[in-house]
Amino acid sequence: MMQNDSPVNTPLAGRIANLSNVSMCLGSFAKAINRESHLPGLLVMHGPSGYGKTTAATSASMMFDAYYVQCRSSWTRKAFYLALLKVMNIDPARTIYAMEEQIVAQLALSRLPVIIDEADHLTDRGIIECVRDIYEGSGAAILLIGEEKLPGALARWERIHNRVLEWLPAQPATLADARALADLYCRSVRVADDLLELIHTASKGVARRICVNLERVQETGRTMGHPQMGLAEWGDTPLYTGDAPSRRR
Amino acid sequence: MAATLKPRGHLTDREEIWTAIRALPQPWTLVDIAMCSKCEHGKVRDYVRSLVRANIVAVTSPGQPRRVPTQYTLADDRGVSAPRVRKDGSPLPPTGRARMWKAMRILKVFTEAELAEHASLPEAPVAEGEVHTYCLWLARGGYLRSGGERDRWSFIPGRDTGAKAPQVLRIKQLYDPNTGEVVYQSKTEGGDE
Repeated sequence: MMQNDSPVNTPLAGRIANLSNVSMCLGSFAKAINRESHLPGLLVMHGPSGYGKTTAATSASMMFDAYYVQCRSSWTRKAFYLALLKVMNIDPARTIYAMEEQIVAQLALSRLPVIIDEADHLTDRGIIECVRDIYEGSGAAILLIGEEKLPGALARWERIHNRVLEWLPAQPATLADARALADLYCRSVRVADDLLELIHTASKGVARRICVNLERVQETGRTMGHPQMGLAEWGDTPLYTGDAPSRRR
Repeated sequence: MAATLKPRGHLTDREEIWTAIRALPQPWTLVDIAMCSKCEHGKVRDYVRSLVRANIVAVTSPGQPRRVPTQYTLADDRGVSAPRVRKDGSPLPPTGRARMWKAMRILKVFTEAELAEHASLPEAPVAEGEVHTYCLWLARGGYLRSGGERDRWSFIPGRDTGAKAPQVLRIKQLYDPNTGEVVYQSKTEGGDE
């Protein structure tokens, strides 16, 4: 059991970086960080949930040693600043104004970029201007991540909209992405190309659903003792499509 | 800079030294830093030397042995976090555990393979065995919960205590079974430096 536990044991490093959304994000973030001083430094990555935006953010934050915060719906300006100071490991000052100064100073000195995930919550609460304050003060490259409606919401704040260097719409997973995910998640069972294609179609390119399906395939393969799962082995068991269940007849 | 940047949490020796370098009036000597940071002179000297090689600290007036101490200034303030540099001044990436800690707080739910992939840098890969060990320790400390499947974990949101990775420390004790007492405890080892 143990010795054939990983028939697809290719080296790990770099497999995530090959996912198309991750490589797009890494490339653009690198450009924003090394940009000429007259260019704007905000990036906006937007797309439906499950497309792998946070995966891209994780890679980017690791690669560029970026500060990462994930916004929540209850956040006020103060909560946002406190969260940033926490990831910066700075003892927060007493007033909001002083906190902002601390953040700006730390970003300007360290020259590290920032990733703000779920930025929709900042636009919803109308506190997105504080991102602009931080950006203007420090010149740090900032990556905003949110769902599809984020660009529309940002359009309301022209002063932010003008400072966006690049808009990065997250793309649905390609078949090559599905293969990369299969290599990453299915360590003990090999997924054949025909089944992978079916999974890719059924998941409508949503990376998270592909992962759920791959997990199921692997589990089935493991229990049935198949080292490789193809259409023949899988049969017509339904795949996870994300649709609500239809009425039973 | 007008804003005061004070690091939070417990500081390692290097962090104490860096904080002293930023806080003291410029220029300063090694003795000033050792007094201010309460660190051993040898540690101060080693770290300042690496910072000089990294062009972060500059020598303003070279001293004479046993007479005049060398004076240094901070040439390139990198902010609140102590720069991680090797002896030759080349930059050092964050530790593997620091990267794991960071990645798991972003991912929230992850498999060990996924975390190893995310926490790895091209020049500094993280082995899956190391991921497994660290996750087990964090689970013992109540930071992670086992996610049902065999190598899946989830991060407990309320346990996001801050930017620094919890450290697994070693400690040696001398135990006397006659009396059932621990008669000596060594200093902790294995923390981040």
